[in-house]
Amino acid sequence: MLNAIATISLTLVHHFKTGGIIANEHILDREQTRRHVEVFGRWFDFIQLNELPERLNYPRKRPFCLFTFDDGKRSNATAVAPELERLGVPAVFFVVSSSLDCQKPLWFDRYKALRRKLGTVPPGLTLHILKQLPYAVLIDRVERACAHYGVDADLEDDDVALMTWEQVRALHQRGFSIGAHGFTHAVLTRETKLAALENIEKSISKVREEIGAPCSSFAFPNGNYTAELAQHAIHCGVPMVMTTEPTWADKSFALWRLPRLQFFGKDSPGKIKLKTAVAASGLVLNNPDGTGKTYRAINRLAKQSVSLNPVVHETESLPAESRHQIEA
Amino acid sequence: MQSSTGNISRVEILKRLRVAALIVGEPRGAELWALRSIFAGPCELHVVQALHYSAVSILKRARSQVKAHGLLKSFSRWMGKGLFGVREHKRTQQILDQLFGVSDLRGWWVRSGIVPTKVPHLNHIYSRAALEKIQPDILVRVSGGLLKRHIFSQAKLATLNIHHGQAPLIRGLSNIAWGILENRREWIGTTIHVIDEGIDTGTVLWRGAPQLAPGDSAASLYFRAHLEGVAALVRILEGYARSEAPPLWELPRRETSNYRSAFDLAAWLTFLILGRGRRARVLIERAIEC
Repeated sequence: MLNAIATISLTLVHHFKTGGIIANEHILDREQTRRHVEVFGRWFDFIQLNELPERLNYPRKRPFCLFTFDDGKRSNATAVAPELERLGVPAVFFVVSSSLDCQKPLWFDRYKALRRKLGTVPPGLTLHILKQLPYAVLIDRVERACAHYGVDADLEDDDVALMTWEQVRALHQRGFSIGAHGFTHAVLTRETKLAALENIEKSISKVREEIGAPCSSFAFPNGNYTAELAQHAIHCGVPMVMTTEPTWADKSFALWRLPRLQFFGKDSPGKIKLKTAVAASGLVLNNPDGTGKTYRAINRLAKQSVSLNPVVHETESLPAESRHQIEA
Repeated sequence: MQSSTGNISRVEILKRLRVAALIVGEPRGAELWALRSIFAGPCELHVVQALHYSAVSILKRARSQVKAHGLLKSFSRWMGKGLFGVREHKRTQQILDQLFGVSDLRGWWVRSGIVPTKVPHLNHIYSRAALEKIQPDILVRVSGGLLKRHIFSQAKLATLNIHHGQAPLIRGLSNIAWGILENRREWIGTTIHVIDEGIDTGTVLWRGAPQLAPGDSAASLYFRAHLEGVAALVRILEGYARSEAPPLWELPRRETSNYRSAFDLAAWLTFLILGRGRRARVLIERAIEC
């Protein structure tokens, strides 16, 4: 039933909506990857990241779908990428630079391990509260709780462990795009401005240094962003910046705040289709960054102030370096 | 060898700083965070804990409010406080306690062995006597109302305040919430200033602001502003401990000073309609404007 409704909805949306979607995934196994590709493949053209500006500005009859994978988990390299390669589907992998260096589990994997053991967590350790803390406070709190309860994330698990830089370079050589996802997985709007700017800069330069090529884009950890931080990422040399705004991407979005629709491995085809169809309205879904439907007001405001907005809107007005990257 | 001797002497110098922190009532998350940070710094921390905000009776306070603001405005404030203020304050305190991790902080408070000197209120003669006994180098007003001269003059070096708002641009109460309400982004922040006889008019030693972003609320901004403010306070205390007078904060010229007091009924209603800040333009527009 859900599948039928979702199919009808998506068929309608497919006819009326221009642009496309940027799918925001995290961890998938081979079968889930295949399923997601099958669902999207029926309605969308899979595109590479560098085709995105053109597809936004010059829409085609068939909408596009760009796959992005956040966090740089090892399973991205061992399960997702080989499957995508086999199916001929391009994707972007966003990696957390410092975590790849030290191979420590990301804070939310430790939190998940904690929650699995305790069932519930104390009030100061709920996810909603943790995501409002500056990174240093957050890490301190999670680490102390893990030490107190004798819990830690299982680094043997490919969905917890992170890729090595070697694997990242291999993905890049195989034609996948590599983006930066923060130096740490800090919610950047909770940091001091200076720390957030530094985090962005270090993450982008680290990716550039490791892959020996320009960093393709930047995705905000947890999706929380401000125009100032996004602009800083652009100035650091990435041509595109991604958020988690759950809507379709079209030419009304500037390249420095591209929306992405979040999907999960266990999502059924019906749910994927329905979510994609509903997202076309730009009104219904909640932003997973914790800001709910605030993006509706943001987009309204953006449309009102587009002529007054000093922020760049077209590739022509981007810094020369970024523009060249897109053109290349 | 020389450097280790240097380190020892530095620690010794740092240890000499006597800090008396002034609080009112049982310390909650924000106060405990400040106390723990000061305690972890180069300080010998003493705490003076007042049991009440003020000795002035409710009737007398009401009369002076009417005299200062007029009957209508005063009535609106009382209504606002009665209908929303008390409940909202309780709610905010609960959120802040969670953000600050109050259970850990309370554990620290018990373990720290600090025995606060209890006084009826901060301007009470007993408070002065307690401070005379402590002989603090620095007094820090962590919470409480206005301090009178006989209290703030007890510090040998300075009496400091953590003001949640960018003083002297905005002075008074609930300044972060007022900044949200009046779309004044420049009001939102924290100031560390020297206490004088005015309300938040003393010499500014540090001023800063958290990042504003969509999804923030008055409580989350207060939380981050407090963290940044306390970190700055500790840096200033370290400066004093090294016998370095803190440099004065350079304020922009022609900065007009504003004063806001407690919310009245209309302010409370607007604040709640704005989702306690979440729907405020000053925060939403950060997503599209630098």
